[in-house]
Amino acid sequence: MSTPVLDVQGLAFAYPDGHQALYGVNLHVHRGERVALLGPNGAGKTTLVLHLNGILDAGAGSVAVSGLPVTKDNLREIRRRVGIVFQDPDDQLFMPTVRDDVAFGPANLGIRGGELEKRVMEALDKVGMADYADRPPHHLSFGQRRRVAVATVLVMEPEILVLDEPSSNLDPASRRELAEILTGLDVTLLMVTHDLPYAFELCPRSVVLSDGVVVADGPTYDVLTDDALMAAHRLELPFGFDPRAIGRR
Amino acid sequence: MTPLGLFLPGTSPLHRAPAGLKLLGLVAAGVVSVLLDEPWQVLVALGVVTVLYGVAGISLRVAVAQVRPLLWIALGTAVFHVLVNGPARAFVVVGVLAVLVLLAALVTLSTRTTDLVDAIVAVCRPLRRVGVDPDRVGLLLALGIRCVPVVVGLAQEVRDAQRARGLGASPRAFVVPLIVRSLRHADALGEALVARGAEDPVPDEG
Repeated sequence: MSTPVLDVQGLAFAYPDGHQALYGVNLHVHRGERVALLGPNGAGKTTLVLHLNGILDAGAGSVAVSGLPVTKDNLREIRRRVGIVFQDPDDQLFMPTVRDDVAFGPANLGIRGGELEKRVMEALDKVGMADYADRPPHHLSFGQRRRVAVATVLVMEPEILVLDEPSSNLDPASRRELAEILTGLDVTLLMVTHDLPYAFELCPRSVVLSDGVVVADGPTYDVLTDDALMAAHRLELPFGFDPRAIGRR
Repeated sequence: MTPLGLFLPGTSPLHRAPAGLKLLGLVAAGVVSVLLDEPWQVLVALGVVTVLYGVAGISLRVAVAQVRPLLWIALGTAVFHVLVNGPARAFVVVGVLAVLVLLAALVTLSTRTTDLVDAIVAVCRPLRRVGVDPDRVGLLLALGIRCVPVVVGLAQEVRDAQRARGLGASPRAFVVPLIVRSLRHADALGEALVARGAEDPVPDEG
């Protein structure tokens, strides 16, 4: 098989206060895959995400992106390859205008002028926000801010898009619009979420992280219909949602 | 709407003037204001400011909103000067204060934040020789400006939560959550900046 886009091997990590968040996580994501990372609160999902582009350093084990190990020397290229969309768009958007915000990452890579403008507008176009380029981000709705946050990452042309709780705090229409946008993107996707219907809709494969280890990895349908697994790791389907009634996707 | 003057789009000569020129004008006004000593001079200055707002096409309501936060400071200053130096001096001091705040607000209202940041970056460029990174200064400025509406929004939410719990006048119920949420925001902002390569040197300048 080809080199995985994301190759996490035996990753362990403890916070400085001694709290061990990850105990030897193995995860491989191949090009074009769409994977949901599920798990209860405190399972280590966010800690794992922060390792994917070197914000946190592995205590033990390794992370590689398309064969390039996440080490201090490679951080620049790693951060281009791994695009993280944070849960709260207000943390991600910090420039005076939407255009400046989307341009921030590529400008840090040294891209300037016409090429920068072209990439910015292409990224905004992909999330349907091109008409808002000159607006200050804080004047946009929450759903629009989240779409701009996705654009700030897409503009880097990442090899893998990592989304932390993409559907949180979105109204149903914004949630659906974002799903349509994500479905239309030609990119490898890792989505951390508690929104199991969203995972089922967007990701054919799911990985369950619980107490710092991977406890399940398989088709999302199989994970969501494994009642014993779900109950053991505090995963619950929302009222009225039954994957069996929808069937394998 | 945040209390900070925000850019109002327009096509007036003031809107079209370069940001650097407007900032320079503001500095010059600050210097000249020291020379204002007579009430009639302050009246002329207020007249000039009114004309400038008219040229920029900014309404009286918006202009008044810019000085409203000054009300209590101005009142305190006025009372002090009336008692110590007489009403004429009080008028001069408070008038100059209002003129300067109105002019600064006019620059913000008629200039895109991006242009202001670019002007500051350009001014800082010669400092590169002594180790100052002008783009970093621009980023700091942009972050500072961006943080104002975020923190104002947080303060509003905390205040609402405090009211909802019936803790009308408890400074602790206001300050503690506000500081915690502001620090959490700062932390997450730092992670987002790092994730988007803010730490890395720019290749063509590094």
